[in-house]
Formats: sequence, structure tokens, C-alpha cells
Amino acid sequence: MSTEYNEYAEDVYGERRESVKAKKKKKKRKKRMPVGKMILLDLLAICAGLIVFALFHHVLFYWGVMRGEDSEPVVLVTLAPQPTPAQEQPPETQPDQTALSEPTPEPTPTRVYSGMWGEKFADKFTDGEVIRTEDSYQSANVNATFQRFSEDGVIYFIADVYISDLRYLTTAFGRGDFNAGIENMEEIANGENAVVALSGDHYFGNSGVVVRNGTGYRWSTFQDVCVLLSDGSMVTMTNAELDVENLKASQPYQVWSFGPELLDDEGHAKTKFNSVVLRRNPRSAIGYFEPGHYCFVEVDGRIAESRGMEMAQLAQLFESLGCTSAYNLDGGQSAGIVWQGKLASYNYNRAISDMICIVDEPTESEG
Amino acid sequence: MFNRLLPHICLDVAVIFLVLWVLDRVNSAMNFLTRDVFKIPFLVFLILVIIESVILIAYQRRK
Repeated sequence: MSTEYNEYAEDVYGERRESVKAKKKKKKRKKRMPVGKMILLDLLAICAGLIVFALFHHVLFYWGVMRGEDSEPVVLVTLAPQPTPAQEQPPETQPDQTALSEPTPEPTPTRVYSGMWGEKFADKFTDGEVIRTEDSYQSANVNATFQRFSEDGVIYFIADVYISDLRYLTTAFGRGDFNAGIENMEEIANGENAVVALSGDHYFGNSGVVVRNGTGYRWSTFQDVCVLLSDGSMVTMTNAELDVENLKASQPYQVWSFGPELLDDEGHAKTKFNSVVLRRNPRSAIGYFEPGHYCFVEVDGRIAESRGMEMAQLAQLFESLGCTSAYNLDGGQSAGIVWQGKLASYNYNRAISDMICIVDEPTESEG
Repeated sequence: MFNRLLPHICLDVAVIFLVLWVLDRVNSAMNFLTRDVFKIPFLVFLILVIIESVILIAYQRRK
């Protein structure tokens, strides 16, 4: 009896146990997530990861930048004080009573040239008066001509600039200081009283070397750099060629980090560029002829009237102008040029972080 | 639990880095990857991680 009962019990409990196992398995099978849902969750996790990355890379980074969490600025170059350009007056002499009857010839004043290149470009500068026209500006320190071109569906502007001293080529920050923020182009230019101002390298949005008006603010490498040395010469170099310690030692007056460089060492247009933004775009670039002689180029683009320029076309333009060195700055909707206080190029309504300015210190009333 | 979650985490992180790799190629101004010599091996690594993760997830589901 007991054996029968045991067998019966084993059968019953065995079955029960098996049925419990089967139920558990079923439950387990029910718990398995559908493939679609699993993929969806994975995609959500990827999106969340990218959002967190963007938070750190863009939002918190800019907060840090806004708070000035960067290296301390270092003064690298201090320009020598500028003599006031004026006409040297001849020494006063006592009037000779005996010679009053005879008219004495008017003594010709000796011209004093201001700055490093005042004498070199003497024919470009005035004796002190300021002569403004719609497309030119001439004073004792600055000579700038501004031209608008429209060729093959591309509108571009060239400002040809002579300056008597390096102090008249400055970089202005948006909101007046490094990392202070972004600002409207006309406001930046007019804040500096710039004759002409070109959109800069957007240091605020990249991580390259920043040296402005003789002060070094940042030394991390980014892409090709453009160096304006304190003797007025301008050189461009690739990221690979850049040695930060050598750069510091060379006492640069300005260093812009965007690029690419547009001309080779012999002044010929490059065909390969250290950039992937090579197609037609709005452009902004600076060219160099010789110390004291530079040009600003701005190309409108992404609009019906102007398609913009390819990088190779921009390089060709600088070669045709006769520049020995040229450098591409931040383009796209950040490109713009302000001539005598007014935005001359297409208005993309974008605030930017810096501009390269030609400034003047008029010594006499405007002519 | 962790064994089942790990391949998903690896897969997600690898895809995130793959997106950043592509963004860096499209616009180098993003400056995510600065050394060219590092880019290709990194891409190979990412693809291998993705393949391995998918295989592991499929294997775990079959088991």
C-alpha cells in the first residue's frame, strides 16, 4: 500500500514539479523582451548618451568659457609708443626789422612720418587730415579702399589696406573682452571705431591658439594658424608645423586659428587644403602683401544673388591679387565685413565673437 | 542581469562614438579627434565592438 502510495505521490508531485517548471519557463519566455522594443530601448540609450555628450561639449563648455575658466592672458608684445603725426614747425626766429621790407619765402615744413611704415607708404597717407569717400578712407595712418565685385554669380568685397603702424590693425572681441560673448558685427566694429572690420576666426567656438593685440590667451592647437608678427609680417602654418613654444618665442602680435592657409610658400594658390569645407560657401579671409599692406576679402554665399566661393577659388583670388600669404577665417553665416560703420556684406543676422579691425586715430577734423 | 546588459551598453557606447566619428569627418572644426593616425584604428575598433555586441545579444536571446 505504502509503495503504491509513494509511487502515486511521486507521479503527482513529479507532474506538479514539471508543471511548475513549465510555468516558470513560460513566465520566463513571457518576460523576454521583443526585438523591436529592445532595439528601441538601445536607440533611446544612444540618444540619451549623445544628449549628455552635447551637454558637456557645448553647454557646460560654454559656461566654463563664459566664466573664464581658461589660462591667464600673457602679454607677449608691447608696441612702442606712437609719435603723433604732425608737421614739424620750423624754429621760431626773431623778426629782422631791417628785412621787413623784403618778403621772406614761406619755410616748407618738414613732414614727420608716423609709425614703422609711415615713410615707406608716404604717398598713401595724408599729412593729418582725414579724407573719406564712399569707397576710400585716407588719413595720416590708414589708407583703405573698398570695392564690391559681382562676377559669375558671386558677390565679394575687397578692402585693400595700408597702415603706418601695426597698432592700427587690431582684433576686437565681442562684448569687449576675451570670452565675454558674441555680439553683432556692426556693434563690434563701431565699438572700436573701425574703418573696416572683417569677421574673425570665431575663437569662441574652437580650441585653437588665441593671441590678440600682443596678448596670448590660449595655446591649445586646433588647425592651421595665421601669425601676424610684431614686425608686420604675416605667416601661415599647418597644425603639424605649429610648435607652441617657438610661437611664443617669436612674440606674435596676432594669432588666428581657423584656416586653412590658402597660398604656398611661393605665393601660389594651394590645391589641397587642411579643411573639409571646400565647396561653395560664404567666406572671410585675410591676405598679406608686405609689412603694412594687407587686404580683407569677404564673399557672400548661400543666397540667390551669390553662391559663395570654393576654397580653391578663394586661394586663386588671393594669388591674382598678388598676396604672398593668405588665410581663411570663419565663413558661413559668420562671414561679414563692416565698412565705415555699416555692414556692407549680406546680413546673416549672426552675432560673432571677434573681428579683425583697421582702426584710426584722427588727429584733425575730418576733411 | 549584468551579463545581459553589458553587450547593450557596449553597443550603445560604440554607436555614440561612431556618430561622433562621422561628425568629426563631416566637420573637422568639431575637433573630436585630432590625430589622423588614430582615426582609422578607432573606427575599426568601433565596428568590431558593434559586431561583437550584436552577436552576443543574439546568442543570449537564443540561449
